Amino acid sequence: MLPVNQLRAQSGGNDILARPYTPPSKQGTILFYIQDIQKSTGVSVSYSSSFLHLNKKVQLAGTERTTGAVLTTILQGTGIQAAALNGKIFLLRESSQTQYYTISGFVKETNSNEAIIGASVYDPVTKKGTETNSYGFYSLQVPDSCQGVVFSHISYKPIFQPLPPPDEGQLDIHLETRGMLQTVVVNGEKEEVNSQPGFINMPVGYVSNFPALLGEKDVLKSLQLYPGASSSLESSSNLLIRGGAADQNLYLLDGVPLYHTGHLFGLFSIFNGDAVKDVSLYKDAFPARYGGRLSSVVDIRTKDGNMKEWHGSVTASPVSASALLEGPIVKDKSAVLLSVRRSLVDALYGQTYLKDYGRYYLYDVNFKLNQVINNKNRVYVSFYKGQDKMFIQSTNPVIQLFDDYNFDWSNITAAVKWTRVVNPRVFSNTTATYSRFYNLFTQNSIIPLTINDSLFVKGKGVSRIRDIAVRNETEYNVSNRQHISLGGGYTYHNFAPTAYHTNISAGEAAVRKAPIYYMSEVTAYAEDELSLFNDKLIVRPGLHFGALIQSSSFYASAQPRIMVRWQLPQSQFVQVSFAKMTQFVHQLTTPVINLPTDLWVPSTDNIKPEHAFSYSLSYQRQWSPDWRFNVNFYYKQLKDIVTTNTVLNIFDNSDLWEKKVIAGNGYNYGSEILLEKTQGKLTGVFSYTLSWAWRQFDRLNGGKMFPYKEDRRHNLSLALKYRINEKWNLSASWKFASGAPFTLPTQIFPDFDWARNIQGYLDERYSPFSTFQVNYLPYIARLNNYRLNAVHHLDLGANLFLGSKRRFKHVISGGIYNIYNRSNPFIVSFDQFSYFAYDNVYPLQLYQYSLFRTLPYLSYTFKF
Amino acid sequence: MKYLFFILPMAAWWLLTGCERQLPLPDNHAAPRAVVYSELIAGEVPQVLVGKSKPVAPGVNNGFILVNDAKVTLMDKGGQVLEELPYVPDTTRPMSLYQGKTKLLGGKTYTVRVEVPGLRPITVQPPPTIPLPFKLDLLDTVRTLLNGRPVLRFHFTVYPLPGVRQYLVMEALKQSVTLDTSFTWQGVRYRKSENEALYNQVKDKPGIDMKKDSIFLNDFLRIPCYTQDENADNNQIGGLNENYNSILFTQTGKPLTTYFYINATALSSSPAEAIAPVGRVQVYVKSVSKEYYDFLLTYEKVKRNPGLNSLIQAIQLRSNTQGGLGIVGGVYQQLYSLYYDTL
Repeated sequence: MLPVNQLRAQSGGNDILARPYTPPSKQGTILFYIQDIQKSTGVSVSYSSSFLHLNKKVQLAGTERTTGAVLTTILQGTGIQAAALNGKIFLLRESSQTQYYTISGFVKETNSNEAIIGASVYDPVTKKGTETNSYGFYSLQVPDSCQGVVFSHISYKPIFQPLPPPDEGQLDIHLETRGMLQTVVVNGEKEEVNSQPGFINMPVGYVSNFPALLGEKDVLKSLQLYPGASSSLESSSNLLIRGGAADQNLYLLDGVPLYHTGHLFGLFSIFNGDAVKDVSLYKDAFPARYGGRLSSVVDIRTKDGNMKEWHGSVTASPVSASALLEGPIVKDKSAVLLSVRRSLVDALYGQTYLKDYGRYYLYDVNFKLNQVINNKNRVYVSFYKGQDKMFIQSTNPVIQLFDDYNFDWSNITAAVKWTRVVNPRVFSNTTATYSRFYNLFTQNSIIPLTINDSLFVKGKGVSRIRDIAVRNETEYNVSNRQHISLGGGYTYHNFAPTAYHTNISAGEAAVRKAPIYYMSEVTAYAEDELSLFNDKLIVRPGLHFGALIQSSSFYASAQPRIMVRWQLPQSQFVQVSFAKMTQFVHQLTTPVINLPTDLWVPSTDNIKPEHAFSYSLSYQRQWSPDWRFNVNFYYKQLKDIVTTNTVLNIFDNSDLWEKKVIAGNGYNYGSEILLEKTQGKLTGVFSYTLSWAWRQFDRLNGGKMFPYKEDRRHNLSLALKYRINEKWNLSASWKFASGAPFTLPTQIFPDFDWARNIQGYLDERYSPFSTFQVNYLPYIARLNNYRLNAVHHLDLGANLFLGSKRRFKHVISGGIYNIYNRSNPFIVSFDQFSYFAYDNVYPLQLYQYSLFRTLPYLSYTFKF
Repeated sequence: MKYLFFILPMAAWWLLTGCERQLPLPDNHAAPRAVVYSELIAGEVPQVLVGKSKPVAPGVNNGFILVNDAKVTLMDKGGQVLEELPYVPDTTRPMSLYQGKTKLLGGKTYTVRVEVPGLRPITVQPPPTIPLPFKLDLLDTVRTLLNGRPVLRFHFTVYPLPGVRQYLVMEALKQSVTLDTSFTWQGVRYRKSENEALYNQVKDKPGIDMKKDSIFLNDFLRIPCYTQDENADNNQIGGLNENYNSILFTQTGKPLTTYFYINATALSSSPAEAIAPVGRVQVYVKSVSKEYYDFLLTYEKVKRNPGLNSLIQAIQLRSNTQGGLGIVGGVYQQLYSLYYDTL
């Protein structure tokens, strides 16, 4: 085929392009107009269907009155020109080089129309391609010589789609699942395209692969199987990334930030496995669109709802029950999903085993509406509410409390999201979100003043966070070699960290107003992903800008990011990255468990934002699609991180938190190894992390560095699943973590008051639980100088799938947690945690309290 | 309420009581250290309490022994020995008392050296300077209520010293008193409580001179105190509605006018209950040396919560005793004695 510029020189017959021609309509396909021109004018039009999308619908301006004008309009943007030669019209490419055109659309699941995140779309010959974004959208430029592209995802059967596409517009692809038994982990390496070390993307199917505490599927705990992700305590969902604190993770539920992610002291996360579609964890090489936290981003997407037919499931276990219902309101147009989970311990055991102890329950509700406006526009509405309620009565037989306590904490999130395919190369999503965390505490106390006089205290404390935000993210696929992302957002924060009211007359006490902070946070970002040297080198520079605006202070932060990846032969690559992250809000907490009383406060004129400078170097190799290995080295410097140097009482308006906060630095570094087998009968993960985490505060430990409370030298996980047949699979996981640091006094010496014969136990002076006065003081040479016992446990599980080819399906899951009955430390106390010894002289010991010993679980799921 | 922080971990712990396990303490080959506590008070003679620490190791308990063989030396700033403090036998004290005769002076720097056989000697670094006298006005006192509790309010004004940063400490103790009979027999005066047998033998004999007297004991009850003053450094420790051992201020340049509250429950003792002993209430307003002030600030934190469990970050006490443990502070104090009980 000759190029246009050569033909023009010898044409001499341009008059046939000026021949009058009146199109019969303003709309039609390219083929329609070509055929009509031939029919109406008798001029032959020659073309190759291999590079021309004949079925593409086009629109005329209405002013075209010649064959040339009509052809120019209908061929606009295709890279094709009309040329006259020897009385014929030839439709030819504009230059001699290969021409590209853009295909775009959504990749969805066949049965439900659920968008598939992270599906690979690539030319099998050149291996060049892309992957779908968080909404299942892709945009790819392909050469006109390309015979077709492959759509694949590890959980779905791949499809080869011949090109050019049969129709104009979006090329939406539907993939069929491989079957639930084959659901395996995905770690950013669906194919060779765009896999990233420091990034984990996990479909929910993976969560149910391995044994779970009490049978509760938990996405955050599943992430802990991977290197660099650990928990502070045994079986806690409190996620710690590379030596960072729990508050340094940005949790997004359908794009809505969350501040508290734990149920029951963090033993379970608030993310209901039934409702979650997948979770992505970023540990480094942070995309520029993310900001606001120092250590990681945990992006959780809930299911969109089945657009084809109604489905549901009910799961029951001896501790909880959950139900899910999803289906179309209008088939292929709108879908709805409702998921509910509730603990049952109060209902089943409240009158028996737990009768004397109080009451506790939790529940979650997830709702999502997914409305297709047209093939370019879609709206999602999502809602979540999670609630914990706890009541501890003063008359319990175990601990003599003077008080009845009620704890009631909840999260509510809501989001409206509008996604729009602006054109085949530009995809945009705009989100409006609302997030609220509310912690209510009530207390009824009798505080004895004298033998005949007591104070009857009714107290109510509230800690609340409210965020309202709007955000836009736009992706522009300039070419296969350049992909630009940009966007921005605005968040209105309303923090009321502490508010306390009591029936007690303040008397002389100043009635202090609870502090409330109103803030605006503005973000903007831009990122450019470039593929250079024939896709050997990928460079992704980006810039995230964030600013926190208050009446009393203003902080702004420009956060550069860069990722550079060099592709090597045999599916290997080396990647380096740098990211600066800034955190404007701080969590003030001293315990290591996830408490709703953890206090979120903003940066103020006295307390600066926290910063992290994160560097990483990684190498990855993949053997066949089954095996993957990567190793990662990281170094993270933390600046201006805050901590409290005393115990905060959050429900006291007079407790001025700013006076108790000190700022310092942190240094986290280490290396991670991952070996993973993702397909076949036997699948599994082996991960190992060697890490250090240090903190340095001028006013702690004599200004010297000390190990951070979440410092763990070794973390190791081994998880295996074996699929026996379509009905049965077996799984096992073993987790190991070095002991947590603990400050153990090196000496004890006489208490200052005790030495001077000063007794003091008026007014519940030293402890609410006892009037026992300790007669010694601890001498602490160094903070965190001692290590608790290592935490490890082996868990076994099995799943039985029944009726997988029938309408009604049944899944029975069972297993044993901590099969060798290991006593892992949950709380360790020097001396007794609560004083029971009333002898003047008593032995001092370490007391370790463990949470779970060997614990079986069993659950049954019914699906339709 | 102020211990809310504990409640949730306690609830977790409560569920775990069946899973308690005692772990052996790790070996610790560190040697015990000498412990010294002393308030060097202007106008008074030096008193130094000496004791011995215990390394935290397998078998340790919270019993402490007395150290009666220490060599305690009082020196001036230049290291010139002023006197060696002799041991004062006193079985009522948990630590051994060494007391001198030198009258301590405000504005002067003293140091103490303590040598306990077999242990590293203690030197005080930096040595404390006893603060200069300061002017204090007690404007009034009122019985009132603070957050539902009966309190006694003191309205103080502390005047600054030019160019000097003052570290102020306000606290209250109730000192126990006992009623005793003293008698003179053959020219020697005896206490009945200490010489019961002799008393019974001679009480009816002619010429015996007997008197009933109130004797203040070396036994104190700490009275919780409060402040509502946001300038108080207790703000660094906890909330202003909490009770404290002492109320702490750093004063620079300006007069400090503040309300100081003490819990009124213990002002007078009730025979029906043993909350407070019969005695007198001692209210102290002290100006102290900086190192002592820093110690007291961290001591308040430790008493509030020592952080000896894995849920809480431990608190390190500040100290100026090199080679050992404890604190030696300089104090200029003003004292108000209140008598609510019939003595």
